[in-house]
Amino acid sequence: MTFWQRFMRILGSLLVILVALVLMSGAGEAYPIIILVYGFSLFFSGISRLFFFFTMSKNMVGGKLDLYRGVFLIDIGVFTLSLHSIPHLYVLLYLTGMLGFYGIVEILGALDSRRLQGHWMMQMARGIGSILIMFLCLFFLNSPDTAVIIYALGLIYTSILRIISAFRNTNIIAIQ
Amino acid sequence: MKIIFILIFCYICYILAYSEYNLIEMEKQSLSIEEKQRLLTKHLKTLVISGEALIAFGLISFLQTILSSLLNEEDQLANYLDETSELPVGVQFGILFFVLFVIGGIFASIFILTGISAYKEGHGKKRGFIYLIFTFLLFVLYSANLVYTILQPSSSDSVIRTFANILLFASIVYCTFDILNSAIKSRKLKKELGVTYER
Amino acid sequence: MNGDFHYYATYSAAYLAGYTHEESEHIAYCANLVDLCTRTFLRHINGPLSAATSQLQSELAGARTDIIGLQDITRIWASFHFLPKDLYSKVEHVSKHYRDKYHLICGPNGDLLVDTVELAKGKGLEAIGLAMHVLADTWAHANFAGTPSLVINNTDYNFFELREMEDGSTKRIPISFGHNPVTKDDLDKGAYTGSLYQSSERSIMNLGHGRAGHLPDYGFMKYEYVPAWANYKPIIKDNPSDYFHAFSQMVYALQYLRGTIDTFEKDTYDTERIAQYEEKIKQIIRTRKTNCSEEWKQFGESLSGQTIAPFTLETYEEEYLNATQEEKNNTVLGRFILAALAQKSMVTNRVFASNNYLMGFSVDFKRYGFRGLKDFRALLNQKEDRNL
Repeated sequence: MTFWQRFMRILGSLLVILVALVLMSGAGEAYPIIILVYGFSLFFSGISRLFFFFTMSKNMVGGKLDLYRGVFLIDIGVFTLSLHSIPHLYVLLYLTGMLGFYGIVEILGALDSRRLQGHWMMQMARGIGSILIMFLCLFFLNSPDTAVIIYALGLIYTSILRIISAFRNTNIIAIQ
Repeated sequence: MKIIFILIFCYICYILAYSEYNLIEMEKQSLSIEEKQRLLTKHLKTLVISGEALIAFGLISFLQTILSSLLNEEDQLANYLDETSELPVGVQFGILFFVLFVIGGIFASIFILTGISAYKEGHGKKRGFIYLIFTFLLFVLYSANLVYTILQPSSSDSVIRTFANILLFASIVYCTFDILNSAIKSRKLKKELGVTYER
Repeated sequence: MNGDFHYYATYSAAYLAGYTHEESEHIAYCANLVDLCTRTFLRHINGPLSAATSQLQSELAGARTDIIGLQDITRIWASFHFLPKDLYSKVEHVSKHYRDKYHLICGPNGDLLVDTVELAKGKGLEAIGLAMHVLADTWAHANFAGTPSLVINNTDYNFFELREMEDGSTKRIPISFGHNPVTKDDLDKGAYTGSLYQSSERSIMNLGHGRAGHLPDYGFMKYEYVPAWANYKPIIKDNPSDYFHAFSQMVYALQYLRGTIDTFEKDTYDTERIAQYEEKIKQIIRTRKTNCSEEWKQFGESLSGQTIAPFTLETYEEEYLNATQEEKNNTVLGRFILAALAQKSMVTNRVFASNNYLMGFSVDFKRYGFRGLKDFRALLNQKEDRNL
């Protein structure tokens, strides 16, 4: 991992911890802001990917994938933005669903890493933790305050693990 | 606003079509075996990518439809509830949601199965004509959807939502067109080159 | 290419071109040093860091990937290992950024190769060794660019080895790439190690031939693949043929540098001088091993009748460390450093002159006086000393 990648990963994780603390404080205005930030980041990622496709990767073998990736990100981003005016419970459901999806991705990544004899335990821990948090949130859905606290704790847990993994040495292959 | 959308859409179509136009011009001339091999590789790769994209489109559209109907405050499902009916509102809602789920699921399945077929054909496996018929139906449906969205954008949707819808429908139109174009051309090229399919 | 070709094969080529055993060893040492002269090594000998001709994996891992960092990486890799073939090749209907990266694609017999060889003339054996490394790599690393770029250096999953069987037929064997840095390449099963796919354009994983693993560095390997820039046209990389061309071109270039020939031209090979050894050379190149040092060493020793000392990086360290500031440029490593700075300066200038800023800015010293990194002042001083 380069210095800047490490720095951005730690900064991102600290921001997520801040968001989690705001959620736990019970500020109701946090939900729309979280949804807006999340939605806009996905939207602009999509725009950026589309720009990359039209300037660079349309000339590349298999570059069309970037076109579709860009469209997906824009669509998901806009869909996320459209959720800002719905009850907080459903926002929590959506966020929990995304957390569960993230957990699955981490578990698959950890299994892949294990197959390649790389580091996998921390990634697996993050994935399993995310899925457990998702199920706990769903279990406590009838008491939204508890579910919010569980979700926020889950965010803090995954962020701390990401900060720890940022300091690990990563094996890279740069063929010389 | 409509004019801006139309202009942006036309420009994007121009850029994407230009690369295909070059292809069409080249294919009109008689091609060497190496050129045919190159075109075959290109079409097969396109099938793989477009197949993957179609699967993703299907899944995303299905999830968004279900989530929108569940979470939308201006609940469209609520318009279909009959408060005078003997059935409780909750049961009516459940039935409506189930019907939406089934219809959405069928639609998503068409996307996914068509995408899988295109993906497999891109990897050299033989596929029939049925998935191409479904691809054509999707192409026609989403072309109509796209034209309708451009000419009559929904008043309840924001500008960004309309833009995203146009982009999504245009991508599905492009994707299905790509699959049809590449499947037909790759089969023709395989015949000319004498390439066999894997089973 | 690997150390076996850069060291022992360069020694053999130098000897065949007419250099003595000691001179050939010296040239070979400098040729191989290009792969090992990293910033870590230069810090160790208190040398100028701008003279780095390679980067360690740890240095790459810590490298910035913003515009400044990318220019620094490109200056090293494109100057010494992926010399661009044609800075003015026509590619239509693409953005400037794509065109700039396309122009950095490496290939043999480019104009920059002629400039590289002519630059080394009269500059000592160190410059000659450096030029031979660059020449050899233009053959091995063809079709890749010395800048991190997904759209240029990426490859498809359609990767096949074209193996000649005993009955003379050619078999198309699929190649698979794993991404575990610890696993060795399995030549029999066709399982090799390559860099992981990264969708980011500027990722270090997309530098050079990482996506093709070590295949360009194996002399025996003939393979077919589809590079990202080739518009779906498969390319057949015939390493046995390319390595033989590299060797015969090195012999020709070394004769020019020795003064036996007046000019160095592209697409010219001295096959006559090596005719009696052609079979032996091709046999070594085709040996199915990841490291053919033994074979090349035996061949070199059979030519000169003397033992070739194994390559040791620390050979000339003491000389450089013990020299005074004024004498450093007269040491072996000092002259190598000057040659590296000159090569880097020349390539950066040519790329900049073609309106391509991927290697950064190049300043015309004559017009504007000295600007830029102070390490390059040594080149200016060297020129002034020669004029005196």
